Amino acid sequence: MVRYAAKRIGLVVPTLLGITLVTFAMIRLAPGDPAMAAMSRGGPAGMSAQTYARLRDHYGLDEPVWRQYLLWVGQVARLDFGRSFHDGRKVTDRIAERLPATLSLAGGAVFLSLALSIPIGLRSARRRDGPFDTVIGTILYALYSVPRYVMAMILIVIVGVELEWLPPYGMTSEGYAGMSLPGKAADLAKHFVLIVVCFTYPLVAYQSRFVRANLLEVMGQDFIRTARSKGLAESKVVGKHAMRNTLIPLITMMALLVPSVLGGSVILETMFDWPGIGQLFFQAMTQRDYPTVMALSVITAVVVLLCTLLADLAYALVDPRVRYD
Amino acid sequence: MGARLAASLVVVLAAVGLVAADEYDPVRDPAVNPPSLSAAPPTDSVADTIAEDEWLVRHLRADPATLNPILMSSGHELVVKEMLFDEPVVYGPNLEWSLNRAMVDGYSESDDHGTAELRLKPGLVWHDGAPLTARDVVFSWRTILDDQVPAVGARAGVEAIVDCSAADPLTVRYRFAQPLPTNKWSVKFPIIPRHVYEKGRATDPSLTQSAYHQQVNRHPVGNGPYRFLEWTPSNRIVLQRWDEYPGPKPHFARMIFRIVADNNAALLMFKRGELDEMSLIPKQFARQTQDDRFAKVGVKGWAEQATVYCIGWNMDGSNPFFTDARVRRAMSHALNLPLIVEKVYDRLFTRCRGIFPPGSWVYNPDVALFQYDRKRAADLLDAAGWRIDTNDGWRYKTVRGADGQEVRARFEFTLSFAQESKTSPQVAAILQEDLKRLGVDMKLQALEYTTLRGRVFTHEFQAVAWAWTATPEPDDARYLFHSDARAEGRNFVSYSNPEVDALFEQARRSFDVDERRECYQRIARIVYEDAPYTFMINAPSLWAFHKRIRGVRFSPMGPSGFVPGVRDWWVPAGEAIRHGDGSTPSG
Repeated sequence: MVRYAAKRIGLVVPTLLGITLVTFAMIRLAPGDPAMAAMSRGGPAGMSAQTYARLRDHYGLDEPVWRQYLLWVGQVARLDFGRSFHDGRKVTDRIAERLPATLSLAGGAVFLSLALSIPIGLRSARRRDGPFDTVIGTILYALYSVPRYVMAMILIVIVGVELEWLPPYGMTSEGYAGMSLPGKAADLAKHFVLIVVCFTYPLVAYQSRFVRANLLEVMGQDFIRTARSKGLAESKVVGKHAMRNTLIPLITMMALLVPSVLGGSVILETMFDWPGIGQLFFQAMTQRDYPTVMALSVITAVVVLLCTLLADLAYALVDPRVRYD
Repeated sequence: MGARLAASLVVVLAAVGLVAADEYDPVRDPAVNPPSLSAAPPTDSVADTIAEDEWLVRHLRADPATLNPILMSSGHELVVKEMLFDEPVVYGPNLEWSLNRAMVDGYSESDDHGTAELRLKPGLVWHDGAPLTARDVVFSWRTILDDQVPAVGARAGVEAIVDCSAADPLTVRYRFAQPLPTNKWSVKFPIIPRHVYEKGRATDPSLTQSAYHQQVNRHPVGNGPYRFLEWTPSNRIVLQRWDEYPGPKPHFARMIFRIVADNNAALLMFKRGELDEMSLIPKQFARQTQDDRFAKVGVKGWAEQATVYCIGWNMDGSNPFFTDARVRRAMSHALNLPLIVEKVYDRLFTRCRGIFPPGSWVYNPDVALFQYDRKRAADLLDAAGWRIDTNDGWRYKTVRGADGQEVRARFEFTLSFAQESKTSPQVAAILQEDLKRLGVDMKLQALEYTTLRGRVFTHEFQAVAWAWTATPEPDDARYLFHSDARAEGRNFVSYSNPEVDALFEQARRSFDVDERRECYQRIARIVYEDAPYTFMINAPSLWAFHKRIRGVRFSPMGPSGFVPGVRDWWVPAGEAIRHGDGSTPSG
């Protein structure tokens, strides 16, 4: 186990370096730079060549590219992501103030999807091809095929604007600061509903089918037949013996949920005007705010790496076959 | 319920563009420019006719980078700036140069126009109570011109002032580099509080990096009709009416800027009553505001604006086509503008007569427009030597290549446009079709706006769909069309005409208004005929307002950015919706 863990962790470092290199290269290959972006705002006379040169110098764009990369990686290693080209604030501050919005979304979506998909999956498997399994299966397949941004649009226009059941934009209403505590909680909750639904429904669709398939596979195995022939009650067979083995693969899945939620947050947070890091990423990209984009890319990559690492290690812990030593 | 859902579905389909709409005519749209929108505030001070406690929620399309007025330069930042910061000189309703009577007693230039004097009103203070004096004005001028301060937008006009000093606490003296009629504009620059910004300069001369400057740039101390309350990044900026403001007080107790980057989201928020005003794109104005939801909350404002849409032809010699004026004129004749105005721009836009917009004091109504005429275009191309090869139907000409060798070139070029634009692809497709029939092969290239801008500024394009908003000072057009502006400036197409250069110089030095007007009107005619750009249309101001709002007037740059502008907007007592909803002010 120790050797396996060491090997897995050892792989993280070159992977991380590779990610920083690719991130840096991709962002710098996009045409246009922040000095150029500022240039168009230089009044009717435009910006003089001196001012442009001064701006490039101000942003540190005059250094050779490889030097810029090394400087940046050095800073990142010390957890210093520099200052935003957009407003000059520390990138870490900008990300930190938006993190709660995205984390609460991710947490809500993961919790809700598991809370729904595990019972649905188990029930579908136990009454395989019954009416519940058929109906719910059809609905979930249909939902799974609707892209999140289409669902977002439908929910915003119909539930948010036409029927006015729920607020479709932002986290809080106007006048939030003056509300009572229960009022604030209710206001926040209302704003969460639509965007969390958008994050959750494809996860429920996928995970419940996943749980169903796993349980069916496990139920066909010898040790289940043994348990049954021992005369155990069916609830014990499923609840104790089958369940455990069904949920093991879910650990890997949960780790992969994080990248899925982070990736989806860029478009969904922009559509729902949600002040999280996905929206920040989108804005920073259009502003050519290199430090913010690179910081977000690296942080996302690290989170994903850590999640898969944790999943692998957890998997090895619960399933001895994975420890290759 | 079923009908309601069906209606919702239509709304969704319309939003994604699947339902074809009828032809639009703004003149017949009852929501456009209703008399209530422009109703002036009641002047007799009868109490309770205006809801003076009401809040106004305005749309801001992006998060400002800063609220320090000398560091601002984007349009959405200036919208916030004019509420927080007052300047001695402001734009009037037609964007004319005007003194701000809330803070200035007078302005005079010496007889030789080499110097000027500005007299501030006594007793002015900043929002924090510190006195505002001539020394603040001088400090601001120095700071704007400081090389270490990235005051990109503010610096452009101020460079005409070579010296600025405080003769006494209420008198500012300016000395100009040259005696020019445009000098009075250079006095129009933002003022920052010296007592706030001098503190941190020693440690952070850029005014942008230190924690102290970060703080004061994001929590500004201003002198305008509103004071700063709070700013949640990318979400909202909240301002509170300043009771000690020396000028006429605005009618909204609180002004909230709601930052929403996506225009579609903003329109849906508007329909939910969460925004009180926003700028609309043509498609929204003509197609997406015809529903009952919109009619329940909003009305629309439609006015002429000084924005020019055009196609630029790069004539720096990097392509063999556009250095020849006949080719550029042929392009102008090939563009089917009547069709474009009707189909693409929904009759909202008017045809453009060149560089100065209607409403400008130098507008030339006598410029003869290029008519859509393919036969004429073909003749011009023939005359320029681009002849049709009957084998393949395309036009060819023998030209000298970069290496001096003669080569047979096919008339094939690329039109670049911003991929964010909804209308440019349609305009381009119409032109492409007409050019194809003329034997000219036009390729299309959609580029992200930041990228396109970079290419245009470095002259790396052949033809480009472009736009700009003309400033009120016609001399500013020099930076677009004078041959000196090819290397440094905004003469992106490398236009050069000695006669135009001379007229710009003449107009720039004359203090005779009639002489200046004549020069600029001649420039307008010559440039239009030379066709460095094919001038298409003047884009209008298209706006949505909550229907309770009154007192809106439009300048050639839209409903704000001038005095009185937003300061005159008001809501009749009894129609207030925001302050009476149980919410209480938080600050």
